[in-house]
Order: sequence, then structure tokens, then C-alpha cells
Amino acid sequence: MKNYIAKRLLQLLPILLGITLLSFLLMNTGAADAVDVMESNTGSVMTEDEKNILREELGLHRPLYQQYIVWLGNLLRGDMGESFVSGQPVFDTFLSKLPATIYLTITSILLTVFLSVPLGILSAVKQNKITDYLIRCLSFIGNSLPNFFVSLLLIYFFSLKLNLLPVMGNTAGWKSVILPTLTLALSMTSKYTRQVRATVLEELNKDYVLGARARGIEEKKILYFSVLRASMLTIVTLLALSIGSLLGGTAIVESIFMWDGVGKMAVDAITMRDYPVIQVYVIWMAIIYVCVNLFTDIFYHYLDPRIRLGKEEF
Amino acid sequence: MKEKKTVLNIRDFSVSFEQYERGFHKTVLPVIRNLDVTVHEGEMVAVVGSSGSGKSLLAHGILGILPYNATMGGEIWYDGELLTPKRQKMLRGNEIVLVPQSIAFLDPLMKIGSQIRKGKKDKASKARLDKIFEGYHLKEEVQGLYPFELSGGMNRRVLVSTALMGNPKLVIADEPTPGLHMDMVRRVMSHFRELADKGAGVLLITHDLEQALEVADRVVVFYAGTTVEDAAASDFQAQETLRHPYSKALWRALPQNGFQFIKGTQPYVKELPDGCPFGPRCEYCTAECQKEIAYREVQGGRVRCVHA
Ligand SMILES: Nc1ncnc2c1ncn2[C@@H]1O[C@H](COP(=O)(O)OP(=O)(O)OP(=O)(O)O)[C@@H](O)[C@H]1O
Ligand SMILES: [Mg+2]
Repeated sequence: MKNYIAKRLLQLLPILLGITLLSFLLMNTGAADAVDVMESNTGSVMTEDEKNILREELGLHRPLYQQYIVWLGNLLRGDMGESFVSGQPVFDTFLSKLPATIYLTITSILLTVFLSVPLGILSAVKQNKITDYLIRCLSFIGNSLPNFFVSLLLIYFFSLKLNLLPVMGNTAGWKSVILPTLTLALSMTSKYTRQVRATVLEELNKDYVLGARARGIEEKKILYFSVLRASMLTIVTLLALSIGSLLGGTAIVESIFMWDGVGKMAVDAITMRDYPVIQVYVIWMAIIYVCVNLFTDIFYHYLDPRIRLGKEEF
Repeated sequence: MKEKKTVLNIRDFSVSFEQYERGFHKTVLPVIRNLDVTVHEGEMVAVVGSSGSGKSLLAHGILGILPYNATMGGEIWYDGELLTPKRQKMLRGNEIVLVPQSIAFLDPLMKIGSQIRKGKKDKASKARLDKIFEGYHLKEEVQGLYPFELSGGMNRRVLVSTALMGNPKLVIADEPTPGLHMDMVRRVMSHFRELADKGAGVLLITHDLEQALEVADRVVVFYAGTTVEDAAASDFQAQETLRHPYSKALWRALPQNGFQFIKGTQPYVKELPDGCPFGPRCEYCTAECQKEIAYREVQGGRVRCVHA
């Protein structure tokens, strides 16, 4: 097990290196000349000579691969340059936005899991009964409402009509996280309830369930120890993907609620063409996806003996 | 003959599936009908039928583990009382046990040992399982393995072991021996025989008539979801003592009788003929055979044929 994790971590290195290289090239081919951008951002007028001196100072005259190495070295020290807009170090900016996004990720994922897993199981166990129809109907509705619409509805009722919760921002303590969490959890819960139902039903129809019944195992035990365990493999994979995209910030929800996270940061950076910030964001997204995949694999490895004890060569 | 208590009495049992074809058009697929089987105390009854004739469904019907889209008809009596779903739930796994047909009936994510012990960890259960495994040449390590790690032969022995943990009064063994060595087959069969001799009823489901004749007291011949004959194993010594043309055909197909197979195949449930399902392949088939045919007592056995 430990060996496996070490091996997987080692495999990550080339992937991460590749990602940094890509995002470096993206900057150096796609973006404008850094010195020109600086000039227009600071509003000062420089002569061509001054610019060349600055380029030399910044190392821009060196070959691309040397620049990359320097850039990578800086990256490892947490120095990813300054924002074209604010002039602040982008890495620090990014770090300051991250907690808000992580906070929202945790609350909305927890709410989703606590709602969708029991609802999905209930729906599967009561297949084609009233309860099932009701749950499926609700999840269908939840699924078809777009996030921005839900958030506007929630704001309208809870903030404007009932005056219970703040309209926006993440400064009002626990109260401010409620509406964005509800918005995100509603659509995810709808999706996951259906997914959990489908997975549990699929497992329930397998022969091992018949076998367990024939051996006289109680239905509850079969459900909780065997069926749920097998279903977890699928559900966790999906959840991991959701966590991944939530950690990337939810542009719409964060923007509507003025939730000051990385999603909003990315949207703002894109509208302002703030390349260094976009770059941090791209690297962050890449790291998330790599980590989420790693986590899912390790989880599978842990939960499924067929993978753990079977072939080791992957 | 001394009158023995009836453990299992299945009367006019049927299983059908509801299927939806092309949208909402509902069709009913009658996989089993007119099925009659009895098993007495201390008796080993073999149900012999070819693949797809509904043997596993019979086993699952007795245990109450048919899929949810299956509808069951007829009556199952166990130990003198009607076997209701509630009783099935109570009895299965301890008085009524199943040797399932394949390893797919074991949870792929759970270790063999705790699966057979049903999660029990007490000394008695452990000792019991150790003893059963020893009898089947299964090493103790096997208990710590997962189903996918077993070889084909080990699978079988493990599946048989699952049924021996309790104190069964009725053992239903669904094809318990394919893939096993002849001496292991004998060992498994002798265990069933032993259980029968101790007073349990054993229902051995198999497509192997030869094997059934070796160990069983009675053979029930199963064709296209229907029981066509119920005969003593000794009736199979000669063609003349058999009652149904299909049983006779099976007899002729035995190696010692010349391996003669009859033409054609068992009809698929959707294309069943009226009356006797064997009619289209039968040389004695007459107009009467296309009507409903009663299960009659003939010479100490039972048969569903007007010509017997
Ligand atoms: N869930 C189901 N829905 C529809 N038809 C089914 C279902 N399960 C089984 N059948 C049908 O019932 C018939 C009998 O199946 P069963 O598994 O009992 O056969 P069997 O006699 O045990 O065969 P084998 O020797 O291959 O094990 C098959 O033709 C199959 O197509
Ligand atoms: Mg079968």
C-alpha cells in the first residue's frame, strides 16, 4: 500500500512538470511582452533603451528554457510574479482567496453527501413506490434549475423577503455561507441522489445479494455492508470530481454572492487579462485534478481487493 | 415402505417474468409452470434438466430470492406448513440452505471466512468452519482470501461449505459439482448423502443425469420449465421402467446406453407449444398431447404424459 502511494506520487512529478511547462509557454507565447504590459499598467513612458535594460534585468533576453528554469525556481519558492492589475504578488493573492473556496467546498460537499446518500438509498430500496417517485421528481426539478436561478430565488426569499440571511459577501460569519452552500448543494444533491439510486439498484440486482439473502443475512446488513460498500466505489469517484471542480471555485455562485474565492478571482482576472493571476489559477486547477485522481485511485486501491491484490502493474 | 415425513412439497409451482417490450407493451414470460416436486426426510431428490430450463429459478423460488420482476404461483409447503415469505426469511440460511450455482453469489469485496461465518467471530463458528474446510482440503488461509482469488475448484468447495455451517433440514444444491475432480465430486456428494441420512432432505439440481443416478433416491425430470416425470433412481436402470418419452430419451443418451441424442432443442419459453412441451420432438405425439396434461401416478412414480 505504502509502496503504491509512493509510486503514484513519483509518477506525479513528470505530470506536474509538464503542466508548469505548458502554462509557462502559454504565458510567453500568448501574452504580450511583459515589459510592454508593465509600461501600460504603471502608466510611465519608457524609451526603448530603458525597456531593454529592464528586459535584461528580468532575464527576458535569455533563451526560453533558461527562463523556464528560473521561472520554475521562483514558482517553487512561491513567487509567481505580480498581478498586472493590482501589482500585488499573485501567489499571496491566490492564497488569501483559497480559504473561502475551501470553506464553501467543504460545506456544500458535506450537505450534498448527507442529503443525497440517504435519499438515493431510500429511493432505490423503495423502487417504483411513492417515495421513489417523489424523490426522483424532486431531483429532476433540482437538476433542471440552473445555479444562477436558484441563487437568485434564494436571495429573493431569504434575504429580501424574510430578511434572515445576508445577500452577499463572506463577512457575516456562518450565516453568509448558507445561501451559496444551498445553491451548490441543491444541484449536486439532485445529481447524486439519482446516481446513488442507480448504483445501489445495480448492486442490488447482482447475484451476491441473492447469495447473501440465501445465507440468511438480514436485508439491512446486506445493504450497509455489501451493497453500500460496492456503491461507494462509484460514488466516491464522482464526489472526487465534484470536489475538484468546487476547489477550482464556482465562478457563477461566487460571483453572484460576492464570495471572495478563487473562482471569482479567476473570472475577474480573465475580464482584466491579468495573465499572472490566470497562470496561478491554471496551475492550481491542474494540481487539483491530479490530486483528485490520485486520491480516487488510492481509495479504490484501499476499498477494492480486486485492485489491491490483483495486478500491481499500473 | 415406511411413510417418511415430507420436508418439501411444491405444487403446481410457476414463475413468470414481466417484461416491457418496445416501450410500454407488457409481456409475461412464463419460465416455469406445472412444476411439482416433493422431498421427504432423509431423501435425496435430483432435479435433472438441461440448461435454461429454470432449475436455478426453482431453487431461488423456494428460498424466496427471485428477482423483483418475477411473479410466483402455486404452493410451496415446508415441514407441513405453507412456506410464506416471512417463513422463508426466517428459515433460509439456517434450516433451508442453498449451495449457489456460482461464485458470483459471494460478495466480491468480503473475505471468504467472514462471509461464510456470516460475520460471526465466536470460537464455535470458527472451529466449525475450520472443520468444514479441512474436510474439503481447503487451507485455513483460504478464509482470508477474497472470492476472486480462488481457483475454479476451490470456488465450488467454498460454495458447498457455505451451506454446511447451519443445521440444515433442507439442502438445495444448484449444480454443486461442475469443474471438480471425480473424487471431490464424490466427497461433496457423500456429504449431501450424509446430511440426508441424518434426516435432512436434499434437492440436488443438476443437468448431469449420470451423477444424479449415482447418489439420488429419486429423480425429477425437468423439461422447459415443467416437471415431466418423477421416478425412483432405480427406474433408470431400464428404458421400460421409465414413463415419459423425454426421460427415455435421456436414458438413451447415457454413455452406457449408446449416447443416442434426440433431434431438436428445448423450446424457448416464448415459443412453447400448447400442451406437452416435449410434443414437437416426441415420436408418440398425438392430438391429445396439445391439451392440458395432468400429472398422473403411474407405477409408483408420476408422469405428465397421456401415453404412459
Ligand atoms: N430476471 C430474469 N428475467 C427474465 N428471464 C429470466 C430471468 N432470470 C432467468 N430468466 C430466464 O429463465 C430461464 C431459466 O433460467 P435458470 O437460470 O433457472 O436456468 P437453469 O435451468 O438454472 O440453467 P443453467 O443450467 O444454465 O443454470 C432462462 O431461459 C432465462 O432466460
Ligand atoms: Mg442454473
